[in-house]
Amino acid sequence: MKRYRGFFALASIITLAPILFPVNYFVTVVGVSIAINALIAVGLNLLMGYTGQISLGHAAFFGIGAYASGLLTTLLSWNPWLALLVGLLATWLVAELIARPILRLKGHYLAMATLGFGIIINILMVQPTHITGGPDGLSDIPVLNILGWDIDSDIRWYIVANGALLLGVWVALNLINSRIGLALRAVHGSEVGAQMMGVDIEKIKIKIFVVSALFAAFAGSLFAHQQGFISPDSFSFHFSIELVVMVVLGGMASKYGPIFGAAVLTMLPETLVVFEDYEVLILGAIMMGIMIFLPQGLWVGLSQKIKPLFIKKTISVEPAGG
Amino acid sequence: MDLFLEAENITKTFGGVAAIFNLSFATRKGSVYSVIGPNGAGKTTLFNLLTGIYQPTSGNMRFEGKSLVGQPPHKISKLGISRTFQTPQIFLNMTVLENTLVGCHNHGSSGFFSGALSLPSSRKEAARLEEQAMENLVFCGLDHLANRESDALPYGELKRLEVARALSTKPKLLLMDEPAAGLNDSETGEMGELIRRIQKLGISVMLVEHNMALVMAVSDGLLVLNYGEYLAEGTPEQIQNNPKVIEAYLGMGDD
Repeated sequence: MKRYRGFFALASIITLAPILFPVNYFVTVVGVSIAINALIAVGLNLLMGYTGQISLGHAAFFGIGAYASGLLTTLLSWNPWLALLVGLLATWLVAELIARPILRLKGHYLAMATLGFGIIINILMVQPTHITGGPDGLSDIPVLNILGWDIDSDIRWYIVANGALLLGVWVALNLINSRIGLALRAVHGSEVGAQMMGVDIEKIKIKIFVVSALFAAFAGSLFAHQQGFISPDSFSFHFSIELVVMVVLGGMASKYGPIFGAAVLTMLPETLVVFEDYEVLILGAIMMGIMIFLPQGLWVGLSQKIKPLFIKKTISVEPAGG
Repeated sequence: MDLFLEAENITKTFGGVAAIFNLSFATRKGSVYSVIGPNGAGKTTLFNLLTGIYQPTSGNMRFEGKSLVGQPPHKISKLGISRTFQTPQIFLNMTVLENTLVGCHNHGSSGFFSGALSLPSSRKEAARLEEQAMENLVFCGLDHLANRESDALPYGELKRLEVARALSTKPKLLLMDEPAAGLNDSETGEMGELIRRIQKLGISVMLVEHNMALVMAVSDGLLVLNYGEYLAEGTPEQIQNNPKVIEAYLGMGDD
C-alpha cells in the first residue's frame, strides 16, 4: 500500500480543491485543462522518463483521439463512448505501425522522426476540409453522457477529467512497479544490459510507445467533448513541445512530477496574461531558470530541497524498510 | 562429453579487418574456460559474437546443439547464456535489488496488462522473483546494499552486482568479461573465490581476463588468441610452458 501513498495524496488534493474553492476559475475551469494535459504527460513520462525514448509527436495522438470522437459523433452521429473506443483502436494501430520503423532510431534521429510524424498528422487534419473542416475545425461535438448523466457543466467536467487522470496515474504506477516497469527502466539504463537479461527491447519499446499514445488519445477524446469544438491548432507541433516541457519541467521518471509540470505549464500562461506582451518572454525565462537551478525538474528538485527538513524521520525509517 | 558450447570456423570482419579469424573451439560443461591474449586479440569481440550483439561474418556457433547464429541477445539469454561486461552495464537509474530483478525477467511472465492492473498473479510473481533476486545478492555478498541506488556503489561492488544480475537469469554458461579489471588485489581475490563458487553451483564459466594470477588459479582450460586467431589451447600448465604463447604474450609482461 506504501506505493499508493502519493496517489491518495493526489486524490485528496483533487477532491478537496473544488470543495474549498467552488467558484475559483483556476480550479473548476483551468483544473479541467490541467487534468487533461496531465493525463497525456503521465503517459508520455512512461515513454520518455522511464524508458528514455523521446517523442516530439504526441500531440498527434491527442489529435487522433479528439478527431475520432469529433468526426464520428458529428458526421455519423455515433455514441460518444463507441467513438472513443474506435479512437483508441485507431491510435493503437497508427502507433504500432509507426513505432516499428522509428523506434529503431535513437536520440536526435528519433526526435526528428516523431516530429515529422506529428507534422504529417497535423496536415491530415487541415487538408481534407470537406471532412475535418480544415483550419476552421469541427464544431457542435455533442456532450458526453455517463449513465444518463450529461457532462455539461464545469464542475462535472472537473470530476470526469480528474477521474480519468487518477485512473491513468493508477495504471502508470502499477505498470512502473511491475516486471514490465523494471524492464522499461532497464532499457533506459543500458540497452545492451537489458537485452542480455532477456528483455526484447524492440518489442517493449513499441509496446510502451503504444501505451503512451493511448493515454494521449483518451485525453483527446475527452478534450473534444469538453470543448465541443476542435481545430488543428490544438494538436500542432507546438503542443507536442509543450507536452515534453511538462514532463521535463516536472521531473522525468518521477511518479508525480509530470502532473506538477502540467499544472504549472497550464496555469502559468493564465497567470501571466496580466503582463500582456511580455507573457511569452516571462514564461521562457521561468523555464530557463528552472532548468538551470533544478535540472531534475521542479518536483524532484523541490522535494530534495524540502527533504532535509524531515531527515531525522527518513533515517529512522529506512533500515526498517530494507 | 555432451555438447556444450562449440564454435566452428567463426570469422568476424569489420570493414575488411578481421577481429576474429577462422576460430574453432569447444568448452566442456561445468568447466571454467578462459580466453586470453594481448589487447586487441578479439576477446571481447568473441563474447559479443557468442551473445548475439554481433553476428559472425561466417562460421557456426552452437550451444547444447542449438545454433546461436542469427539469434538476438534476448533469445540467447533464454537459451541459458548470460554475461557480465568489461565496462559495467549496470542500470544506474535503479537500485541494487531492482537491477538484479531485471535479471529475473525471463523467469516471470506477467505482461503489460496484468502489470498495469496490478492483478494478484502479477503481484505474486513479483514476490517470487524478489526472493530469487535476493538469493543471488546474498550469494554475491550484496544483500546489505539491496535498497541502495546503484549509482552510489563503488566500482568493485558494481562488478559483483553484474555477476548477481547475470546469475539471476539462471544461466548454464556465464561469460565474464574482465571481472577483475579495475579491482585491487583483495577484491580480485574475492572475485576468484566467487568464480569458484559459481562453478560449484554447476554453472560453466567462460572468462576473459588480463590478470594472469587469477586466470591460472581458476581455469580448467585456456584458449589463447593472437590478432583474432587461434594460437594455443590447453591446461594452465601447458599454456604457461607453450613457447608460442610465451613469445606472443607472457613474455611481454602483464600489462
